[in-house]
Amino acid sequence: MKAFAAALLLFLVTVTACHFYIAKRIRVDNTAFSTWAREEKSISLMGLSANMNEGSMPVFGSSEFQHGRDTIYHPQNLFAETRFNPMLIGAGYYQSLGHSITLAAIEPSMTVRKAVLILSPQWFRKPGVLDQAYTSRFAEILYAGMLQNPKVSEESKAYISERTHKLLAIDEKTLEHVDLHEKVLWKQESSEAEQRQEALWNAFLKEKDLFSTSFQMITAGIRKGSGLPSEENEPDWSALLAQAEKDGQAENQNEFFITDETYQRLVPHLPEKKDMNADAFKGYQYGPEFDDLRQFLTICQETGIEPMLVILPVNGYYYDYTGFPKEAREKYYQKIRDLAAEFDAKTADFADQEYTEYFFEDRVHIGKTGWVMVNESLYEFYKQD
Amino acid sequence: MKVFTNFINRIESIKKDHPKLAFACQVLGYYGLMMILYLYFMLANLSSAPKFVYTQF
Repeated sequence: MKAFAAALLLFLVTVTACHFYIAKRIRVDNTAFSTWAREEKSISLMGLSANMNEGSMPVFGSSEFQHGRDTIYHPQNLFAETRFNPMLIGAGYYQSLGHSITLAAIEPSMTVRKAVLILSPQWFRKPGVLDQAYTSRFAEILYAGMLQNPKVSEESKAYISERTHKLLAIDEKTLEHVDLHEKVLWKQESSEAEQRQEALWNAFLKEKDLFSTSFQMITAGIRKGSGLPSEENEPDWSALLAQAEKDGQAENQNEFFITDETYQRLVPHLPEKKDMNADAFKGYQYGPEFDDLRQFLTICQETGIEPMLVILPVNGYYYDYTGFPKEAREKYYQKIRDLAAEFDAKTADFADQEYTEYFFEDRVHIGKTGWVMVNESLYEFYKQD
Repeated sequence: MKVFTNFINRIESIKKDHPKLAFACQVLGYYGLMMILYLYFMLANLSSAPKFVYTQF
């Protein structure tokens, strides 16, 4: 019994020391965390909140963040030495609904009152976000953070709750926790026992978040810095664009102007892709994603965040090959523009870049030229008063 | 079986001959178990969601 008590004391001292060390270490004071394009980071409320500084602007997106990281054009490398600190949030299959929750959760920690959402046209397929995808990207801690934000309206919470219950039906255990958070943090209809249970569970989730995020930061080699540069260090955009085109000409010599590696992987499948989408006259124009995007913009409005939507194009050369009608593409872009106008949101509209050579790395993800143009739009938006 | 009983007898004799060492070993044993449990809960994926296989768009 004495040995157990001594061990318990030792354990508590270790855990407490770990907690204070990690809580201090998770804030890195440089751009390494913000431009770190890792999925696990995007579900870390503690990591995101701790690293929001006077140069940070959340940039929500999806799988494009995992592409082009080995080039100088990816934000991870391009903004490594700038005062501007784009907080990249997202990975494959992150979409507007999940980003609405994250924005509502991290908003209290944001100094720069702006946010960017990079829209992939493929999000706007008829089914919208898939239940398995949403479940795999869902973070309870962010959901609880959203419910705790007093600026988020009842209507917004009701919309997010309804969609979440529908999409999380395949994960009963998480859904039970969601119900508990809602009862305690939102609907105020919980017993004292439930309030204690929720508080304990939330404290555990925060500790787990701190620990696992710090662990991943250590394994990724993210170290503490000495603060942001005092100078803006704006990149030379025209030189970068010229370099991207030059690099593209040297590497991407194929009919879709994508990297040779991805083109070679695509070649065996090309015959089956020919005109496969020729009847997609209503493609990307209907589905729940539009309402989810509307919700994202509503959260921005309610929390006083100025949004910018980055309208990414499709790869015109490849989409023409698959027969995806140009009229459908144009109608999709226009729907996004109309929605942005309704909410008075800024746009960085790249719809006219469908045929810009080397804009894409593969069929859907932006590459060299694409990253330079998108990064410039992020920087310009950040700099605007 | 013989190896096991020999091992237990040896532990018992250490406990008798070196009580402080035995106590320290017990403390370390409990401490190790607690740390393993702690690390498991801190790093485990507690979601019961079906595994999502990422496929490119």
